[in-house]
Amino acid sequence: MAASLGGGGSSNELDINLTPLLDVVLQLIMFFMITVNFVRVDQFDDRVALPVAQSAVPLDATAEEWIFLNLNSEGKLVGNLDTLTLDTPEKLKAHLMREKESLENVARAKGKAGDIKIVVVLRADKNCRYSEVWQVVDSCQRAGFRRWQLRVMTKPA
Amino acid sequence: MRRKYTDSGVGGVQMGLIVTPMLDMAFQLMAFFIMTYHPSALEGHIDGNLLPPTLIATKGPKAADAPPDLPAIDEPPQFQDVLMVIVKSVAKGQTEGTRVDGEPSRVMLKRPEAPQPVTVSDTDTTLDEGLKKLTSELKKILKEPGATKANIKIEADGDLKHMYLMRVYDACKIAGYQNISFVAPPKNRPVGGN
Repeated sequence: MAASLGGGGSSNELDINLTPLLDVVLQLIMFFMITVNFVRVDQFDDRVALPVAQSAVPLDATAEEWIFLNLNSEGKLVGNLDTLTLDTPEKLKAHLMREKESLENVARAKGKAGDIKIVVVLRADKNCRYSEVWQVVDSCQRAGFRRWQLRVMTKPA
Repeated sequence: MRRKYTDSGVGGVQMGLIVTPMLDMAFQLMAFFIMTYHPSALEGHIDGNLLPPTLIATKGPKAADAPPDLPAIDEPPQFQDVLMVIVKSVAKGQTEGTRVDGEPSRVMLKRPEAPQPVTVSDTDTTLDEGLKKLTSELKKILKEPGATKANIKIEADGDLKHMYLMRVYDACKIAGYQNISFVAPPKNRPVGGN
């Protein structure tokens, strides 16, 4: 990073001072490291535009296990469920029951006893129909889930 | 970052700390964090409970042709005899006044003691005005003597877009109601319950 000017003779070296640049970059890295929020693919899907509800509360992490369901504007489940054919409430219910059982087994293997607190998080697109949202919620209920969350935006993006 | 150790001006050894690779690495790290950065501060949630299985299929007539796993739902007492906000929507591919497919066409309010719902807003007013009117009506009801129950059920048409349902939900919350439940859209409703 040193540029030498002139040829031969007495060498005049022009050094670019990189220290401030490096400082700024390291500070930026620190900022991103602190605020980083690694999300699973199913927790965040760009294809889903959430509706705005001002009365929504900030996110918390009180549950032990989570199941994320992303519903696009056409009422189809996307995200990590893209590859599955869950076109009927029965298929969705069966899938959710399997997921629930699997999460419970994992939690028990970790030594958790009693009722495992599993929350279904529904990220429904603002343009999907209420009947489509209801169908998913209804399937969750029939699959035996007791708690659910509807994800929304607290302010317009 | 560059140290020069000179020995009485003759010759001299330069021990430079090469910053370039470090800077490269720092830039790579920064690029990674920028790409994986997800500002989730704007995202919030609405918590909900689903009826436990013990409250399902305990009451209500069941149609003979109803699927065997489609139970009637017996509601817990706190959700009975509550105010009902009914939202009718413009059906798919149709328009009503200035409202188009998926927008609310009529918002109605049904008190537990009233036999019929009362229309609060329709397509004659804008949606914003209609929702403000709904909020003021709900506030009025809440202030009435003997209005102890602060529960609301929202019954929306299946064609209603999710964003409008959230706006109705907001209007109820702003009015001061705490327990707001969603009722199955008419076409999805199981026999004998909500």
